[in-house]
Amino acid sequence: MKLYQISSPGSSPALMKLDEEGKPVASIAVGESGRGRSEGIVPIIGEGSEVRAKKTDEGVVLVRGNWDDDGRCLAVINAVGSYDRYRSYGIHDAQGVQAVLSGTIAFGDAGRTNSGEEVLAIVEPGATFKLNSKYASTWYMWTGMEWVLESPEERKARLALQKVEQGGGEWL
Amino acid sequence: MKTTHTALTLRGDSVENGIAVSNGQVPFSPHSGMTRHNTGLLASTPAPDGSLDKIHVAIVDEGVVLVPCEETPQKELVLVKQYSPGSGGKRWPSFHVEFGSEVRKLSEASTSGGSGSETWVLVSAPLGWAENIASQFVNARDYGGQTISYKPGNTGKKESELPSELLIAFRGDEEIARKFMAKVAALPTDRVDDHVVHSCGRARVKAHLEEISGDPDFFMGADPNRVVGYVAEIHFSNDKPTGGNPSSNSSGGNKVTLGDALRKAGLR
Repeated sequence: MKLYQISSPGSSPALMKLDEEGKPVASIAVGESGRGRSEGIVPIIGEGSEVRAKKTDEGVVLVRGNWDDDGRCLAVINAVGSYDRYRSYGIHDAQGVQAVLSGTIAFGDAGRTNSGEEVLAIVEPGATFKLNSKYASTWYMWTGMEWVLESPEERKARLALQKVEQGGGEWL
Repeated sequence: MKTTHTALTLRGDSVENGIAVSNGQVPFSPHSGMTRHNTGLLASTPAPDGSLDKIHVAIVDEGVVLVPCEETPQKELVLVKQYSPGSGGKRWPSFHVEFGSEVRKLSEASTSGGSGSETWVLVSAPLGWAENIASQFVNARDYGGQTISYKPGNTGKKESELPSELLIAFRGDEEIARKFMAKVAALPTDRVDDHVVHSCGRARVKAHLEEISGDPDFFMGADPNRVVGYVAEIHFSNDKPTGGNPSSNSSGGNKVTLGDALRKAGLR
């Protein structure tokens, strides 16, 4: 599986580098450490251009290799936008998304204001979910080959057209 | 059964044929306010970029779909662009519509924050609805915001026998305009200074008329510059049936003031 990172709500998914300056990346972190927060460290072992997640009693390990995964991918999804006291930060209306490990990102020194999650997840082809940034929402869809990002309006427009083309709806 | 709609765009006193389409949507592109939040979907369409003319309208859970057609319209599909002007245009009237049972609201999109605001509403309405609304809107500076409702059979702006400058000055409030007319009529013509009324600025006009009327609220919120012309018309009009030239009363009797003399000599 390819390993993607969505660094903040609204941003385009980018492939995570498994090697930096000729050396393999030893681990990735999900969430952050501190009071009111939680952080998960995921070690990366092996060689190869893709990864697969393996769960053990002690935690999750990413194993590099050349895997054939039928269009699935792994994604580190940061669902937390800019500071807002009440905005709901999380992975909303998810379909085809299986969380492997999650951490917590929070605001304020003691993490007592708003918070949200950062997740390492396996994403199936056709999976969709919505992330809220401070002001807007963005829908993400993984086709098995690429990511498609849509605003709620664009998504509604596409779905509405599909329904009418299939004979649905009420004519005025 | 599909009803053919003719597409119209209504903004204030303007009705344009067609509804603009871009990227398969009726775009929300307001002049005022901010669109930093998700604004709402007005409608989607399989039509290419451009303008929709005649359409069939379908409603699904996700929203409104507009499908172009070529039949005789039985109704109007109106994109109503309601607005409150932003900075730089605050003295211009806001435009809002009171939607009655004659229309069906299909969708809407709004700004959020910023200077001024806009809410666009897509409605299915009877033929002539948009023109009826537009014909009632008075788009004049200082007239005041208006919320307009559909009045069948009423075409054209509301007729009033009151002077239009007073209606504008008092933001369309006929009652206050009539009160002001009564106050002006009660002013002693012999104390109204021709020079001040015709030539001075806002502050002097205000001070002078408040002084001779004895009423600190003589203007009742109106801009003195907006209504001083009416005062002059009433007290210095040539048609006014008075015994002599009223302007000569400005300094009392038939004496000519220094200001009048200078003005006549082209020196002022």
